[in-house]
Amino acid sequence: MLTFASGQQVAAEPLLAAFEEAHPEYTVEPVFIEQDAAYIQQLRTQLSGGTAPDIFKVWPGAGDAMAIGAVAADGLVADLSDEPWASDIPENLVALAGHEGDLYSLPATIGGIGAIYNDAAMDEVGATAPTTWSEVLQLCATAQEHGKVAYALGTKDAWTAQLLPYALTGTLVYGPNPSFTEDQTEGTASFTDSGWMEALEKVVEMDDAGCFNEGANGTAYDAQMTMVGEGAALGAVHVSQAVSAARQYAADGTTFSLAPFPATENPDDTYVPVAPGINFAMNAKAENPEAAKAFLAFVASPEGQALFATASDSSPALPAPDYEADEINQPLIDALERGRAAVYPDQTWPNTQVKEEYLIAMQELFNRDVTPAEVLQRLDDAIAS
Amino acid sequence: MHRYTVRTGLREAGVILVALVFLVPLLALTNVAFTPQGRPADALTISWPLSTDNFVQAWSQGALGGALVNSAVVAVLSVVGVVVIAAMASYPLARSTRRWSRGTFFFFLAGLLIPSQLGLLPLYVTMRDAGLLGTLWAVVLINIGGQLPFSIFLYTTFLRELPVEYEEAAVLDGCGPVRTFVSVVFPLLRAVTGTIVVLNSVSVWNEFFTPLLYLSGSGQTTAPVAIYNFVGQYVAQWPLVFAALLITILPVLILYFLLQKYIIRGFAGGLKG
Repeated sequence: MLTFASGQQVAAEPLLAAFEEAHPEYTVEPVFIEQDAAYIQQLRTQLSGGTAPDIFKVWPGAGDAMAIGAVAADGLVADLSDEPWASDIPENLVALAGHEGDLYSLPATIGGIGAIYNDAAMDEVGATAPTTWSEVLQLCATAQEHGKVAYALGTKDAWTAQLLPYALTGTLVYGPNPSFTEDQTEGTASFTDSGWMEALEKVVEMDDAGCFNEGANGTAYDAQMTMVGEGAALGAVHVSQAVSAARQYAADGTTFSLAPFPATENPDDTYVPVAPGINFAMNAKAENPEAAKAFLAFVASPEGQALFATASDSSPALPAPDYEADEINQPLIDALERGRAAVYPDQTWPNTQVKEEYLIAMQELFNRDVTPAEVLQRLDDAIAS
Repeated sequence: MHRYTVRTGLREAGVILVALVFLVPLLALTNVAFTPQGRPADALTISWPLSTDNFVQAWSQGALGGALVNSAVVAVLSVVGVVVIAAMASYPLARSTRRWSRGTFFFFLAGLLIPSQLGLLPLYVTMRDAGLLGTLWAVVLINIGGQLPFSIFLYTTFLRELPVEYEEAAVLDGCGPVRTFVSVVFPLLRAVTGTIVVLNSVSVWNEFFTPLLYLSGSGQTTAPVAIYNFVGQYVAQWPLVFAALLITILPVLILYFLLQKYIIRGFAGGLKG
């Protein structure tokens, strides 16, 4: 028997069923916890108490209590460097799946950050997805003329407040310089003296241009995606997986597409933040290590990758020739193939304080209580801590 | 006898208006629960035809039947445990004038100040070693321990105001300490017991993390945990959540209406009993 813990029950159940079918000798006993905070607290307690499941979901990078870097540093997960699928992991995902050069998790899916557009709403105002910064501002004006919002915001749920600057800094910071965070820890770079300043100033510029809905800090994620789904907003800068929420609130037949979000006047400059969505790790004290390794091998297989990517509205992290991308995921794959994929900044940050400070500061920025310079100074202080 | 004047009418209209405002969230809750999934709907706009599909789906998909039974078992055992232990513990704390009594009282009160997260891991390991992980007993024991400090505080302060003459009369009639407590003191605590039962029942019924942690992997769950499984990271099935909420509210609501008289009396307090 294999014990398993994760969120996203709807996406994980077909994967578990396919594994049981491929390996009838094993049965899976899953636990699904959808709320991240509860998941983190429960898994951390179980890992400390020695009762954690054999396989469990972890976050990429090291910026979270259940991020692979953190649990590997505490010796709670098994080293997977010698597994046969380890060499299939794309180079840009390896560092986020391990700790100090060793591999400790399997990137199961990838997602990205871009502008998700409601195609019908875009047709209604006669617009196409912007490819330059001035076209972004033009789209905001066009949306207003038609009584719509260009980009819905739902920063009442703090995690959504981080995404727009990530989309902009993909082009302005992390795309051109993927080792920006390393430069920061070495003291040769800072948030304040980087493209982050331009990114946050552009966020303010969008706010001044009326690109967002009124009262973004009072609007929840669900309300944000309802606006996109119903066409009251043309789109939202979001993680690609969020399209599932927009679809839930859309009329039958409504289609959505994702476009890279530009930050300059040259479309060729644009990078798309692409990152592992979910990683699976194996308990260092797994009761059934053979079943756990068989499961990871199945998830890493082309069949497992295609199945889980489709079920979770994501793209495969490892090669999967049979996978057919939709309008949301194809731009992410294109960006990877063209070498125009950037990291999610928070997955490279060295501690959890930066993210905590960033989420609070971004809400304050959307409230216009602080300036971009003040936000970035606080982030520089947090990264130094 | 007051006459019904225009002013009385205005006052009544004002009260009804306020009551209507309080009903708005309930209307939204009920409306979304009866709205078929996939139909975009404003929470406050009733869209016909109403559908009971969400209730059927929430009941079967969330295994709400078993979850409600578990919640009820946990709530009853926890509250009975708290009332029995807190009342008996408070009696000597309130009546003894020795130094240890005061110290012990403050020791219990310290439980109100210590963050529950501090004890999370030791308690979890203790339950694991006791073989109680995955059983309702683990949840019941954690709930009893968690609710005792406030309940002991309420009972003790209430008992200190209770005239000692009742107990002296019982002793003169030949009662020992236990008989005095059971037959004379405890019945006089009916008002504060009502308050403690209500507060603890609501708190235990709504508890989320304890059953999530201790029942994990056992196939058993409680109502709040079952409901929360309809809320995903990217997609929340609100019609199912709201239908499940209405289903799980019902037992508490029925209990409230049955015990309304005692509950109000409990909150009003006093010695009238």
